[in-house]
Amino acid sequence: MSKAYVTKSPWVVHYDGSSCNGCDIEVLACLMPMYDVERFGIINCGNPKHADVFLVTGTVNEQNKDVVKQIYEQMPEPKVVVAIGICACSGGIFKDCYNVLGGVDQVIPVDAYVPGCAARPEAIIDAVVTGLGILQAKRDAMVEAIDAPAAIEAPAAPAAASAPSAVKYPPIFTMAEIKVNAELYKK
Amino acid sequence: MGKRTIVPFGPQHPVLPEPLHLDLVLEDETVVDVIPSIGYIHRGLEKLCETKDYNQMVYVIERICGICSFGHGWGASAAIEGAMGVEIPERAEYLRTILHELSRVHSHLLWLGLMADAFGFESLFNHCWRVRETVLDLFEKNTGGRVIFSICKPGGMRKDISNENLKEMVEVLNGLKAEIKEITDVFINDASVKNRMTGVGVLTKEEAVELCAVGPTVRGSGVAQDLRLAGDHGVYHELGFEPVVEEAGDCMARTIVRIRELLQSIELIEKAVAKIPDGPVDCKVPKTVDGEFATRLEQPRGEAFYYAKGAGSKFLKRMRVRTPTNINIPALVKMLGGSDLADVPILALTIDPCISCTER
Amino acid sequence: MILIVIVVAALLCVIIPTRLGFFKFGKIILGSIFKKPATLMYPVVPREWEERTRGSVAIDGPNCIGCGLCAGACPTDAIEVDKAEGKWKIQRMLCVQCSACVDSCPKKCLTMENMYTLPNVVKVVDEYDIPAKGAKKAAAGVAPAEADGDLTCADTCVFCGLCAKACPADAITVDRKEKSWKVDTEACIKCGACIDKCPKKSLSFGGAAPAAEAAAPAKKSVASLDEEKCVYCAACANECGAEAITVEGTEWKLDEEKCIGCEACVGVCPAEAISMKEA
Repeated sequence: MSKAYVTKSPWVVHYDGSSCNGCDIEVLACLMPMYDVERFGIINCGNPKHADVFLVTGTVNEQNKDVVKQIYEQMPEPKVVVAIGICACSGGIFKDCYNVLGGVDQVIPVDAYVPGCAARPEAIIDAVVTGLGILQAKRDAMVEAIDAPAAIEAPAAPAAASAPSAVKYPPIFTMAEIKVNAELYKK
Repeated sequence: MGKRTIVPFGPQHPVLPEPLHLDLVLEDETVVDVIPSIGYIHRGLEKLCETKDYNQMVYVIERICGICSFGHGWGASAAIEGAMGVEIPERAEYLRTILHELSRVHSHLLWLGLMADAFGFESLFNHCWRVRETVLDLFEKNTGGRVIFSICKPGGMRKDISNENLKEMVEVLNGLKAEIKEITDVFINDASVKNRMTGVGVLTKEEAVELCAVGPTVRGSGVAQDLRLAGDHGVYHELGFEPVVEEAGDCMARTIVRIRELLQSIELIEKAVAKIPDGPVDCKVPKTVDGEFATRLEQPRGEAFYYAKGAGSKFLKRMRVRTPTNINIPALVKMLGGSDLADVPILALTIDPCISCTER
Repeated sequence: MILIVIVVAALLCVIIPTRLGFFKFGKIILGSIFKKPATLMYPVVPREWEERTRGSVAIDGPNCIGCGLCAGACPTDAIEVDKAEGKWKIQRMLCVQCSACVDSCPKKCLTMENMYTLPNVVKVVDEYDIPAKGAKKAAAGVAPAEADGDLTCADTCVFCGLCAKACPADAITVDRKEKSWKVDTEACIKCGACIDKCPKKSLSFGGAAPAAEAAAPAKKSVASLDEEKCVYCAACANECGAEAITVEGTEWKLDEEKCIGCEACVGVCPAEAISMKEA
């Protein structure tokens, strides 16, 4: 099968679970001239069916958990979910609120967690680039599954569940290092 | 006369970073009725005051909204200070006023950008946010955070900002003025922008008063209502200023109100920095809160209300916040009635909606 | 030649409508062509932090006494202190970087670093060791017998109450009228904040005999003000445990009857305007 470069131009879709806006405006700030993630070919699109990477901010609650699920299910495989900000990671300061179920991982599998309140644009860039490594690994797994269906049992289990321990990524990512990250993910 | 159709708008919509849901009842392309539904962001953080003590509660209230975070921290601190009967040092009041006006600059620039995006002027959007980054750098230098500052506490400020840093802040803002004027000139004078905004979403003075609109929404309809003049908080009475009022009541008027407030805020910061006294920035506060207190604050979006009631321990019995967007939604529904479907994004943005404030 | 013609034509296309008030944005666009890009080029050019940038909490392990005040101050319960096992844990994916823990630490062993926690594929929990008691004292060069034991107060105590005010755990009660000083040994976390605060250096862990019933020593000196230096900030009035100082406007008053000569005001005065004189 020919090699397609999903990681060269990943499209992202953003949904605000129930965040305070802090992380949302930082996600938007990433798309602005100062941080300009379009340098990496990343485009923010409104349509989940166009997207490769799902950026979620904020916690999930009773009202929006179906919305989050719906958006996730509409995205085509391979897809990567990045939880941005501590609210999306684990519920954060709102985890004790009566209407908060917890982090996004309560509803959908999450591939990368971005800490910070609010998450800094630099951290978001790091995370999206980390996500690309995972995306490439998932895609490779899918390709292998198509080429040799017997060899692979299931394509791309969620990273959070399969990763045995904390994986330390280097602070600055280049496109070359994405491959290294992909290796780490496979382990 | 066409058939009636209901078109859902949101919660996930490209124009709004936040999940606001509107059911638009359309007749052909005209909106005849709007049913807003909220609750996608409701967390219920007012109830957290049962498990978090009053110091921690300020951190929680600050995170109601990432755009007017400083104002919320101030409001909560002021309500708790009032319940304790504590008066904070003058320098702290000045610092709070300065940071609050700085967040107004940041908030209005952010809104101008989103507005430009709503009518499809993406490069203007980018330019507004480029200028805004300079303000965020000022925040990071002085408070340590870009959007959530955690610098306000009951009893004053957690950190002092040196006079040199304040002077530098004024210099940077004065340097921004030229760029802001250049960009806002596009909003006021560009023919394509005028086409989209003039005469759209008119809210008359009577309607604005009747629907209890607040903030730039009511000031754009010719009502001079600005809580900064009421003297409840800050040192505005010593700085002296006139509220910005526009008469037309359409989208353009509300935009001009915000543009003029942007420049006014920079002036206010300059005046405050010239007058700021030396001294301590915090004072001792009792370890327990007893009594109750309510206070109001003029946020970038309008009037916000804070209420704190102590329970004789370090926990509060009740903490209540009422936010401006909540109050402006009836005005939004009024504006949307009779508008074109294509104008809905602009109108939804014209009240500067902050859904996370609304639902808390 | 052709290039110049194209450029001139492009300029005219932009300038003419601009002058007509029709295409206001042209000026900004033209200006942007000649300015250098606004982009910070983040991954290639590392971000430079401000001094106050709040990134992540760091702990200086050897100084930690495991008092747990940071865990109590944390609004998100991200910090967990396990004194029995000697572990200090922080859930990185719960920390909101409010630096409440940094402010609460009596030993000043927590700091706010500029660098944020890196994104990860799992929820990171960082664990640090809290040194066992004996090891720490050996390292500090303090004889175990002297530093061990409950908090005690020597008979030099003037019952100013500053120790009670400084105590983060509210373990000390001081009654000046009754001339009593008490410590709740259960609540005491042995942070030493009171020892640092005591103007008479009467406090120690397992030191001299308790002064609970001891009479206050004869008054030797009271505070006096150098009016030239005073900035009337009222820091002394706030600090005074005996409520002997009042500052109103530019008037500084001392109630010599109330003054217990603890010298706390001398220590806090930012202008060094207060000294002690014979009563």
